[in-house]
Amino acid sequence: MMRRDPASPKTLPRTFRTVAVVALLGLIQAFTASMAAAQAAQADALFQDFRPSGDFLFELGGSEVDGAEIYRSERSGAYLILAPALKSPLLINTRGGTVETVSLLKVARRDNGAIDLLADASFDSMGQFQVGAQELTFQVKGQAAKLKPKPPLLGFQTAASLVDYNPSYGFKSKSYAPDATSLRALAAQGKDVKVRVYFGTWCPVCSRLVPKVMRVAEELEGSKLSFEYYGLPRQMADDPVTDEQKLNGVPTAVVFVGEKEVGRLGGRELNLPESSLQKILAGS
Amino acid sequence: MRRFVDGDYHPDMDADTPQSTSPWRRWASVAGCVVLGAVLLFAAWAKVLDPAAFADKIRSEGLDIVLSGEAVAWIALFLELFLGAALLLAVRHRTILWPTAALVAFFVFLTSRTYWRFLAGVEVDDGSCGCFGKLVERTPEEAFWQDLLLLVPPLALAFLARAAGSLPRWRLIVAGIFTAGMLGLAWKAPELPLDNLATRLKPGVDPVALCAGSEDDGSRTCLDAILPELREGEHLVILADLGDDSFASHVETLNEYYWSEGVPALWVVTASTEEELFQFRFTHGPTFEIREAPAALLSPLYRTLPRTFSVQGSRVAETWSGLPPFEELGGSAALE
Repeated sequence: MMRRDPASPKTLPRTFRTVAVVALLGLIQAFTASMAAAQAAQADALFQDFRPSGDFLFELGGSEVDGAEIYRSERSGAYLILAPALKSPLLINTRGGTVETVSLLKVARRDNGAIDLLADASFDSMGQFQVGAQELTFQVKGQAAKLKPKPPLLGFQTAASLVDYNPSYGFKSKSYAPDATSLRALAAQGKDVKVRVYFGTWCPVCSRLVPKVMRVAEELEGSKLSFEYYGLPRQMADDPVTDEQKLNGVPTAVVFVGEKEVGRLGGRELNLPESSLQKILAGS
Repeated sequence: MRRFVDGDYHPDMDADTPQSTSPWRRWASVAGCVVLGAVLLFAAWAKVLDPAAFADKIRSEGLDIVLSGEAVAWIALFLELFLGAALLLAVRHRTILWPTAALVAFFVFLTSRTYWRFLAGVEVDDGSCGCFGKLVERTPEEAFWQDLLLLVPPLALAFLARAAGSLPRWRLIVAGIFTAGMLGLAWKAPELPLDNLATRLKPGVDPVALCAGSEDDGSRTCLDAILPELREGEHLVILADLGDDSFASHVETLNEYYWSEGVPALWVVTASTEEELFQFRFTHGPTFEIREAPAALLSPLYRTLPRTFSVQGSRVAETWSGLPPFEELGGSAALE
């Protein structure tokens, strides 16, 4: 049985070992941070700032891929698909009509959830995609793949179900900063107020404005204001609610004090929902 | 010529107006003629500026059974112009009044049919209801009642002292020359820069107030529901048909402009179908924002697509037929 020699380097004092470990951890952290900074600085000029897009679903081999994340870059118009079933992320380049794979190591995620491809990313072509009436078809390693619009979300919804359906709602909601004065006034008001937001997941204006309402609702949690969301089909008249509520378009937020409707907010008013809501309640 | 009756001079009076007709009946008849003529000419003016839209309207009404929509449109336009001009010149001859009565009956039939469909819940194209083309926004109900009130009473008045016998040749010649001139203008109109005259979209208009549909059936839509952003800032809005290849060929230019620094925000608004939008997005790779709008809202705003307008201080500042001169707007992009 070997005995450890107290004088050997392997038996360094405990404090020295601790210092070494801390220093090593520090080095690793500094290295990671510098890598992240380098990555952020070296984002591809075109394929950058991919943001969550909840408009489409991804099918591979005839079935919907669980856990697929779809992002869209406004700058390039391209889509990026990440999924556990894919070894490498897929880049749908709408300007070239091509599908390419990119190494996962060249995908950098920003703090806000957006994604950049690194400037030195190389792409492997998977060929061209075909544009159908309502779907995009292509091949991924011999398997048929499709990108197609999601069916709309219908009926009563919660903020959570909206984000679950379309992660971009959550992304946009986080980036909205409501007016603090209006929020304080709304939180302090004493009436039971219900705001029902009629929207369509197919409507671009809704996807820009409903997240703002969601953010206001989040800020007002615990107050006397409650918010609910109601999804309508593209052919709005197909849902009898459209006729019953005399809805001309979406988004429309109907404001109730108790059971009584006291006002409506359309697209213009929902651009600043907290201020518009405050005005309606002040006048009710 | 017996233009002196009871010692008064009556220039409007036809040579063969019965002597027994009282002066007030004659003046009422002349007034009816002039009002009806003015209404017909105003209605014809909208069609002269955009004959293609009138032909589309003929087709959408299902009136192109024997002749093509274009042929029916030109015949109707000729009748409306000639009869309108003749009436404005106080020609109260039955040769003019009876065809006018037939034309009025036809217009009232069309608007009443549209109104009946509207009441029955059948979807109607209310972008340009009735006979006033794209210049006037009217619901089917308004179109029916306005046409009835503007056309029928003056027609009835015109018949109060209708003339018989020979036609007033010179006035008819003047009406004919006027009609020929207006038809010539209509023929050339598509090539002429008349969009501001022919549509509701013109400098000075509040774009948010551009609406279509009726409050009654909940179909009313305004541009601010599609583009609430227009209330503030500077914007460049392009009305486009996404299925148009010539528009698609400019996508790269629009992409460049959209990402240029310090230029008005760019929006493309379309009434194209969901399928066309999907195909456009994945075939041409636009990076600018596209908003969908009902055809009834957009069609009164253009004669041909694309059409562009700029917005400053929540007013339409300028309009362009086609795409705007990007190089003059301060963007880095320029049309080839």
